[in-house]
Amino acid sequence: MASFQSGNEDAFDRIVRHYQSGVFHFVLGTVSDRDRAEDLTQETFLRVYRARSRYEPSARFRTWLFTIAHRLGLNEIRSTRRRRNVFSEVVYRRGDNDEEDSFWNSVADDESESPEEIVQRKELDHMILRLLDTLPKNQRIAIELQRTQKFSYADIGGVLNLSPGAVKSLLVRAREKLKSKLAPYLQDR
Amino acid sequence: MAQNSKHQDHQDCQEMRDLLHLFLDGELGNDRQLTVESHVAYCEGCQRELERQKTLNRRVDQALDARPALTIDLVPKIRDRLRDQDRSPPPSQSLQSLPWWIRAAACVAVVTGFWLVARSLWNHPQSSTPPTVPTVAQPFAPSGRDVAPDGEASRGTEGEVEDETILEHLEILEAFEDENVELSMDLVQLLLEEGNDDSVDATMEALIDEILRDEASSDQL
Repeated sequence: MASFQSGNEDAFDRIVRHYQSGVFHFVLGTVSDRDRAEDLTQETFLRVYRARSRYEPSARFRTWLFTIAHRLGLNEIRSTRRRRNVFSEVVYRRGDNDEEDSFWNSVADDESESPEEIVQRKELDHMILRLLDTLPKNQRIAIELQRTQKFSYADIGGVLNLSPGAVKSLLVRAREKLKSKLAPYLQDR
Repeated sequence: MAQNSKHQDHQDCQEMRDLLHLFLDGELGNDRQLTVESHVAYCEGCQRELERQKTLNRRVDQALDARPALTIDLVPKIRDRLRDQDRSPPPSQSLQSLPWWIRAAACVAVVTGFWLVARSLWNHPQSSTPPTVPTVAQPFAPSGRDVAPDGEASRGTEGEVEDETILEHLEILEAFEDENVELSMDLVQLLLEEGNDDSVDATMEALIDEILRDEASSDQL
């Protein structure tokens, strides 16, 4: 980020490539469809580009980045006033050939498990994504940032404007709910 | 004796289970990390709970990883949008498009005006003479109010209500002054919106949203 602030344009491209997937999935968890999530991901990086001179190195860059993405997602929800389940829909949306192809291709490519095991695992993935959809918004965001971005409680609190203690409570409640629903699947193989 | 020991173990386990989330998330200090590790090493119940937690984390990670990846590189698209914006004409000079420091200065001027008016009213609450700082007080005279030929604003119920509001602002400012809180942009914004919002959180959220909008319009590359 420091390199980008000092005028290195390539550094900005590297930042985008490093974070684009994470920001995309994060925003996808908030808004309703992939196209909007892609637009908002672009918008997030445009805001970063324009505000680069105002970025304080004392703040963690990724916390700043995900806070912008979070706020843009909230604005989007407020303006569209709609919210659908997105985690599960994007993975196995019926009638979407690309999605189904990618699902069956991934089944075929994985040689370390039997086809039955792969199908079972994919079904479990689907179930977990659906469960994540049912969590309250802040719990879902906390899980997303903690698991995929490895954010600390303080960093998650930075994005959600909450104390680390409140983030801990969010995560505990979310996991307890997941644990109770997934109890039969939590015996390790 | 044996019962006491059993009770103590149960208490320990309860405490440890509360800490397992923090333990797995790396949020415990070194000392407590070691305490949990040594407890889990001999307690089978907590070991099982720890394994369940680990398995849950693994399953959630797997599911999140299974989401379709972003299949395109956004860099060219973002570069195109930046170029398009470079070519587009500058936005109109609305209040929103003014640089943030001009708007901040305006906010500070408004609050300072409030302060001076409130002070003069506080010092002469019953006085019928004109305010001692007429040049500052004048902009705050309500537009629809009758003004006497000698410049004195006619006082009535409406005026008293306004005085109360000003005094409320004064009290808030004094409270902040006592705490040595800097009169920042955020604080000015909060003071201006004080009384209109449901909560401070909502106000701050709106402020961040405004900053996000502002970045789009005022930082021309």
